[in-house]
Amino acid sequence: MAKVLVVDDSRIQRRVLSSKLTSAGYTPIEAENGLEALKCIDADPPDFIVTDMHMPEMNGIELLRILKERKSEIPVIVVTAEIQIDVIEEVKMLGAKAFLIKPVKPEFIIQAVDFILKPAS
Amino acid sequence: MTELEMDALADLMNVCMGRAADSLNLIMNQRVFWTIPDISDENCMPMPLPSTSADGQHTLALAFKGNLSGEIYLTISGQDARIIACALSGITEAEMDESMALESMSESLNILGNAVIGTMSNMTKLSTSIGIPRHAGHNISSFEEVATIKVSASVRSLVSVPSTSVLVDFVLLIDEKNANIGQCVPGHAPL
Repeated sequence: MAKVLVVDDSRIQRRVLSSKLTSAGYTPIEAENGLEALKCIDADPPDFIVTDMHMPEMNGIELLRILKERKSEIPVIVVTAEIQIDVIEEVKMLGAKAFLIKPVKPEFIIQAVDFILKPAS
Repeated sequence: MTELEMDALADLMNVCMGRAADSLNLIMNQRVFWTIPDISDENCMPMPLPSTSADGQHTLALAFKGNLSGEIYLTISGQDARIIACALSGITEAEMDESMALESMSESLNILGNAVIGTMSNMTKLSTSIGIPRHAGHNISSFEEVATIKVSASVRSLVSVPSTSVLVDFVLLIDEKNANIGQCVPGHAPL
C-alpha cells in the first residue's frame, strides 16, 4: 500500500484526510509542519506528500524548496487557502504536482492522489 | 481616507467578501448571505457584536504583513463555531469538543481570511504574507484591546447562513501604511 504523508497543522484536517486515505487503500502518515515532515521523510520516505501551506515552524513553501534542493522525486500536492497568484506561481516553480484551494472535500484530494500515483486507472 | 477612497475600498471589499462567502458556502453547502461591507475610519473601529449565545463568543485573528498589511478578526459564538466545525470536518457534534471546534474555526478563518486577503492582494497588486490564525480572546469588548497595528480604516461585514442561524462577525482592519489603498483599486483612477 502506498504511503501518503499528510502535512497539516490542523489535527482535525489530518485526522479527516487520513481516515479517507485509509478507506481508499493508502497508508497515511501524519506530520504537523514541514520540519516534522522532513523527519518522517528521512526516517521512512513516503510515496506521496499532501501538504498545507501555512504552518508554524516550517511552512509548505519551505518544505517544497528543501525537497527541490534534495532533488526529491516524491510527488507533492499543496492544499491551501492561499489564492495569491504569485504564491501559486512559486508553488508551481517548486515542482508541486497540483495546487488545490480550500475548502476542498477530502474525496477530491484522494482523486488527485489516485490520478498522480495511478495514472493508468 | 477621502470619501472617494472609501468608496473604492467598499467596491474592493464587496468583491473580497463575495469570495469569502463563496468559500463559506462550499464549507456549509448552504446559502450564505453577507451584509454590504461597512467602512469606517480609525475613530470608529467597530465593536464585536454582543453575543446571543449562552457560551459567549470567541474572536480569532489573522494578520497579514508586507506591501499590504492589516488584521482580520472573526467573532462567532461557541455554538456557531461547532456547527461550522462539523461542516468543515465531517465530524458529528457529539464528537466535537471545544478545542476541536476552535481548531476548526481557525481553519475556517484561514480559508475565509485567505479568500479576502488574497483577493485584495491580487486586485491591488500589493503583495502580502499571510500569518497563522490565533485565538484573540473570549468575549472581547473592543478590537482596540487586541489589535496590534495602527488602523487607517476598518471594514465590517456580517456573514450569515440562515438555514443554520450561523452568524459570523467579520472585521478587517487596514494598517495605516495602506491608508491610500483606495487608490490601488482597479477602475479607480488615482484620487
